[in-house]
Amino acid sequence: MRTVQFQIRRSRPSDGGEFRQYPLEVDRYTTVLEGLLTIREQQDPGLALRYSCRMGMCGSCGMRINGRPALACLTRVSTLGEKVVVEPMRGFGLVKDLVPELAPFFAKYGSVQPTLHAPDPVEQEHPTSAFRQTPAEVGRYLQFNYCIQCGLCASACPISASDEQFIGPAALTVAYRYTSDSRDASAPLRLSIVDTKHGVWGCRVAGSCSYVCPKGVDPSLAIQKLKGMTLRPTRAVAEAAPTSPRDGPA
Amino acid sequence: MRESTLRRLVYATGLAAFALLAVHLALVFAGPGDLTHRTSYAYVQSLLNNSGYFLLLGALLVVSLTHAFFGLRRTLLDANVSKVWFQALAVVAAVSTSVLLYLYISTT
Ligand code: FES
Repeated sequence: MRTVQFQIRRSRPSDGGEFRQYPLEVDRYTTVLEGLLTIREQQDPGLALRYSCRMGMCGSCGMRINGRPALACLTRVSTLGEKVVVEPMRGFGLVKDLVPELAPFFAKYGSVQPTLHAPDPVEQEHPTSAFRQTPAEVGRYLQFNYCIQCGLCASACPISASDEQFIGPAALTVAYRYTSDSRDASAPLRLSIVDTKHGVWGCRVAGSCSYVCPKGVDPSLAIQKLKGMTLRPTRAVAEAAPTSPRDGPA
Repeated sequence: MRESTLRRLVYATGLAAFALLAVHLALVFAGPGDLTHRTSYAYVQSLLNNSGYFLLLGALLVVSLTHAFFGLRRTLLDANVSKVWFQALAVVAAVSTSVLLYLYISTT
């Protein structure tokens, strides 16, 4: 066990906020989230933070830890040194303390049609057979499917910070994920949504989104692939077309 | 116009400028005589009497200006300025390209 100093930014949307210090005993397995919960329990019941699964699945506990966007539940204090500086994610509004306002983030996420649109809407609602995919078809989008919508990528993105209309890496990644899915038929619609100066073309390939993603997703790659799709939409649709027959062998 | 169409124009004008510049430099550096001769007024004048070379330089002027103005547009986008700036840039681009093209044609 050792004692580290937690420096936590306490603020409300209306004020500039201030850092408060909290000494805390930790062992080498203590995560930042556990530290924050202990502080709230023992030292400061007013501390506001958001979390749920505590295991890097729900994407709720994104914050800036020692200057870097990270999930508090996946960050061990032992990897951080003597001082742990915790702030809310940048690039979002603030609800209170470490709780960011994520409504605009999810509005942008929803704006790119992040669902499967089958060619036949009736078949989509009442399927008559399985729609199998080959491993290659799944491989086209699989890594992008691991996004947990934590917002760390948007928080790290310099374009999101300077252009509030920029759709953002998470939304563009999910746009690519569905556009490259062989079961989806709305590539033209989705490509028209992202083919704008605040869409894929807003990205300047800083790559910080991919650097901070806790799930190993590469949003920067997805965005560059989407750029290619907008430049060659016919080829994009052809490439995303199913190669295996409905209900055929996988 | 879709952003990807504009982007295609940026790529096309960039590649065209590169190719035209390569031909232009090849003519300047690989022509007969030494470099002083090849850059002399009389030699350049004689090259410009060739309609192919005349068109090449005119095309180089247009594609490089177009490419450059697209670059300025990108800078304005990054600067988050209002729509008026883009309208002004479109006017400046059209006027300056026309004027320079006119000067090029009328003085050679
Ligand atoms: S609490 Fe769910 S990802 Fe951290």
